[in-house]
Amino acid sequence: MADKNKRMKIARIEKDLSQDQLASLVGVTRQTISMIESGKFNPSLQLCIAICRALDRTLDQLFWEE
Amino acid sequence: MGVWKRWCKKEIDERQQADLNRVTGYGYWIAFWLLLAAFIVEAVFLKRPVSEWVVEWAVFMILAVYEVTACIRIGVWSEGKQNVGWKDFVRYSLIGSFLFSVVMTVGWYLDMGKEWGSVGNLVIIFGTFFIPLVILMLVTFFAAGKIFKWRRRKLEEKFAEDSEDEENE
Repeated sequence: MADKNKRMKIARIEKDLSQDQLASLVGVTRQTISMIESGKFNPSLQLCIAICRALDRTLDQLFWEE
Repeated sequence: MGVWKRWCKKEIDERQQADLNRVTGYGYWIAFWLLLAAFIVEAVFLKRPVSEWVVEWAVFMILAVYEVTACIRIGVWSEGKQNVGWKDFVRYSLIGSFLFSVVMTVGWYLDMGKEWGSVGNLVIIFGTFFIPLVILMLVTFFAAGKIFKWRRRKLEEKFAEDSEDEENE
């Protein structure tokens, strides 16, 4: 199981978005965003790209290993 | 959007789809093993007439044939195995034959064993099922293995061809 995605959570907070709002932007449920941030679900590349676009970040910045 | 497309439109996201696929997969295996248990109990232990268990048997066979052909089609033998060989086939055949022969021997004993249930007779009955079954299963596994390897080779060639086509575009 993936480690917690703190960078994604930080980027979301910096953008002043709730999990619900980010979920609406990328077309998934709030629970899915929560599971991605807590490392309980690995999103597809397509979903990763959609999240990056919504948060104005690159794939490296959000999803590459630390 | 047409009525059919509206009806078929998915509203769940990829994570929910993955969870749903897992749930459906568990459901398949629950049905598979319960059907196997059901017609074994009815046919072997309760000695019900064929008409009372043939439907469970038919549904079980449909599930089994579907699983085997679908796995061969996608080129996956099992979750735990990437490649299979003769050692695996021998192991599967011995284990499967042993279990089935035990079930049939117990069924025979419950039916006839009170009169004929000496250890010697039990061994003979067990052997009568076990030996032909091992041979049959070995032949079946080897045939399935050949088809599986052919299919894997075909899939690898297909994707190699697709890559070449993209380079040439």
